[in-house]
Amino acid sequence: MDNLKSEGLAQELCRYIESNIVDKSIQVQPDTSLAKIGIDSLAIIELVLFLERKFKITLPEKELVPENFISANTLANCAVQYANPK
Amino acid sequence: MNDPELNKILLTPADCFMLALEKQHIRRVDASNNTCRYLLELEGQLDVEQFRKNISANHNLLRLAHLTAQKKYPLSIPTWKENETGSEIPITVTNTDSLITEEIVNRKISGDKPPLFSFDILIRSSGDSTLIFSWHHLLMDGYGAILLMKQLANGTPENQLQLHDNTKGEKLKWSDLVNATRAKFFIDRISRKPLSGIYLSKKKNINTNQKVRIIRFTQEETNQLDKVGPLLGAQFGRSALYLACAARSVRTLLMEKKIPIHDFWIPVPRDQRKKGALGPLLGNHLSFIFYRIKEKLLASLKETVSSINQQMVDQIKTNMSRDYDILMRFLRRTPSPLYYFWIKGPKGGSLASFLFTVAADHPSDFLEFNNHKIKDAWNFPSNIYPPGLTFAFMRFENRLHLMIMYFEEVLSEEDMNTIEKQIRYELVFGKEFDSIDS
Repeated sequence: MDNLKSEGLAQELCRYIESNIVDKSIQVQPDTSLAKIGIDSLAIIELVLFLERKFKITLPEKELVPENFISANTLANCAVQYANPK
Repeated sequence: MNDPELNKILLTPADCFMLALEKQHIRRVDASNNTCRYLLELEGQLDVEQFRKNISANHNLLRLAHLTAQKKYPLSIPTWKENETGSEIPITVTNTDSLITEEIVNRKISGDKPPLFSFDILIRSSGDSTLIFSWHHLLMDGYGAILLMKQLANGTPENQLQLHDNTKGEKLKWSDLVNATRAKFFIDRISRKPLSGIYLSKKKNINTNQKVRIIRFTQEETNQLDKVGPLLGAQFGRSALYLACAARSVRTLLMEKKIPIHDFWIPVPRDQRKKGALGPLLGNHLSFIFYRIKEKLLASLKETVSSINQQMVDQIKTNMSRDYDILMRFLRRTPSPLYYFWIKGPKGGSLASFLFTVAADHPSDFLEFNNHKIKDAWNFPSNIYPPGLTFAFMRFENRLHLMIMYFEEVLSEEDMNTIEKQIRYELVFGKEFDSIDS
């Protein structure tokens, strides 16, 4: 948790998406477009709640913008700032 | 001819909900029906004869169209019953330049009289054509219909048509009863009266036409409303903004008609399939998210959007749609009169203040049908009376489409003009329509 890196977080998000949100035929990479694999608003809430539950990362309201939900990478880059507070 | 496999497939929990609705409500109310439609606008003229041949040669499609629901004994879970595929799937050809004719909008498919789907081909004076797939909602949901159309478009060999998911259904545990009870208490609490509804006639058998109002948004308008949503508190996508604008437009109408305004109660279907799944076609794979919009919040667009957004987050956080799905699993064995009584509660009334759905966007990889470019697509949901008013949103290539289904005895053209004017303004500009007068 202390050394949570954006890359590792993006991988965790990909695994979560593969296991819980998308069909088993779909492989999710950190730069896969979330919109293209059908991630809708309800699935985005699930991702935000997954970050809260597993990593105790709460994204502030100002970060809940479409630019942060383009891919697992963009979400991880945003989230990691709130995982390792100084 | 009858493959025993399909006769063993259980109806999904949402199918059983549809079945109870069909038996206890739709068949008793003349105006109601549970027929849905998906419309593809095609460039050029579809070869009608070739299409007929393709459909009549597709054995699995014929089997699918001739399914009905059966209960083998009183407390069993309903299964599908495969019937003889003697009757052809109707394909009707009409020359018209209307997007969809009133005759088609009012044509009903009965859930117990196969075939459970049909096609219409509309020939346009421009030389283009339109293909409309109509189906009974008991058979499949909107996403299943898109999968079916995609498979027809690609000429998928019929042995690859994935009709069902082969599952026998998960076994329920006693601990699931806790989740089911939680869902039941939640629904009872959130749907308590008084509630506002749009339906005006108390008569069960109204002699009325179903109508549809089509509202198109340009790509620029769609982009603009995407920017407006988050500013109003729709942090997770667009549906909170859509629902808030729909609810506020209904509120305006009720105020104009001097009908007292109470809270609104709107269950919204949620697709339970994994994203990108290629099947199954058969059955409804849905749960619901339930919204109660407080009357005092409805005066402000921003407060309405924020409240809907928060309810959405809370229900996903607490797994309420999963619990409701479990409740529906328990109810599968329940005889439909009792099921319907539980859904509606002892006092009856409407299923919702109005019906609302955000359909899946038309898939970006489905832009051709039998070598004809798909220029546009529309998804018309069924419209149950009461309430007899359904809002359906979808997108085709980043353009928002809004389809409003209504009954002419419930709402007039003038009423619909009021709704259209307000909803278009509020979606695009993100502020209260009445504020432009002040």
